[in-house]
Amino acid sequence: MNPKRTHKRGGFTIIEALIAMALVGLVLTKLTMVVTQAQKAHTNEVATMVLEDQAAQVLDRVAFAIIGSDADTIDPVVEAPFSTDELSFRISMGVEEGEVIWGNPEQIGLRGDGSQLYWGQNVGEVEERIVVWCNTVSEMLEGELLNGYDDNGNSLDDELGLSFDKNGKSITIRMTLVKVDKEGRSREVTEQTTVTCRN
Amino acid sequence: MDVSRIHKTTFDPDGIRPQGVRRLGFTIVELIIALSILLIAASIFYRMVASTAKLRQVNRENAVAADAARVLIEEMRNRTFSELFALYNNDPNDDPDDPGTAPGSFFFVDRLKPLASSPGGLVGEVFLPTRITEVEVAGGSTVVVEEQWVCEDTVDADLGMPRDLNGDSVVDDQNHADDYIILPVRVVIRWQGMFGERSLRVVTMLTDFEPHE
Repeated sequence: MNPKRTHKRGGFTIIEALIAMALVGLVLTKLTMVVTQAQKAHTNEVATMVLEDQAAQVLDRVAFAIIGSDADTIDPVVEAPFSTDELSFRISMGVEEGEVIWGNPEQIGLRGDGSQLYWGQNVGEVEERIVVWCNTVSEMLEGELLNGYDDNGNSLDDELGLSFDKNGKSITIRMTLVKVDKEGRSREVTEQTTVTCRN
Repeated sequence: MDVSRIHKTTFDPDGIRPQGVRRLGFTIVELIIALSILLIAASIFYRMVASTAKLRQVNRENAVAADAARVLIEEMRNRTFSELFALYNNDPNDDPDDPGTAPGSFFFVDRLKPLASSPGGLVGEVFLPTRITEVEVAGGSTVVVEEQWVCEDTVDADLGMPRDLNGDSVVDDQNHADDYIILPVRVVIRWQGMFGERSLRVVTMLTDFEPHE
């Protein structure tokens, strides 16, 4: 081995260092981009999942409140293609001496700016009780416009973010929740179910 | 670079492997091992992420199917109880209104992809305690036609059959389509999931609580 050759290269040349740094920079940039995109996708997915869970929970609450009611006490009676965003009903507590004992009048609907879904008991009376179950209800149901037509093909015209329609003893409940994230993007989730009044 | 160390370097007789050299980098074996470990770690991580996504999709499909089955049963509760069998069997000739006007035993579920074998792309099916029976219809000449009967002696453990359906405390082989007071129902939904064929089964018992004359 020639010792002189050994002395020839004690380290990296500036070109080598620059190329290495450029390559490392490129790899790091790509890696950062991938991680950022994965983080964004994860955040989106989690936000959608949270909204879906919320919609399912609220829909279950509404459905279970209505399922125990008497179909004849439901007011107003609205059939497709019309719908209502507010429903009053009563629950039968049983029979005493041949007479049906009715529970306090209950109501489910929208209040405030139309984004709050509430459940109320004795609404408008002294013993009024109001509980807001959700405050992210959309103005209109997903895909619907206020134009007198059925834009989203669900057989209802101009239905709001919460809508009820009656068919015999069955009530179909439709609901769209909307949430706007920090970047101004809105996310919508729509759920629907049908329940038949048991009493 | 430490020149003195290089001076001490000796080579093996074959001139292949340097001996006595302090290693300044990684050997190819070390690199392969490191890369293998990285690859295994990455594949475990990928599999974990993929299985989470798969589980989420499966949960979504299950929720849609369960809700569809529940809604169908709610719709059945909304019908006249005595007409349920005629409405939800697959014989269009006994439909309460005109033939072919009843919903029948198959139904559509939005957001679930039908299997290749799904009739008419309908993923849901209603099962009732039914038996297809050949009966003679006396006309100008005797004709044998197939009828769907509600039968108490149908064997179907899932539906709790055989059992008394008309409340006379007897399990017989007659048709009880006109006098059943309880009706076991099984709703089955079969669909092509993102990760293969899937199904969901719901069994319930419907009865008539309306007072009769």
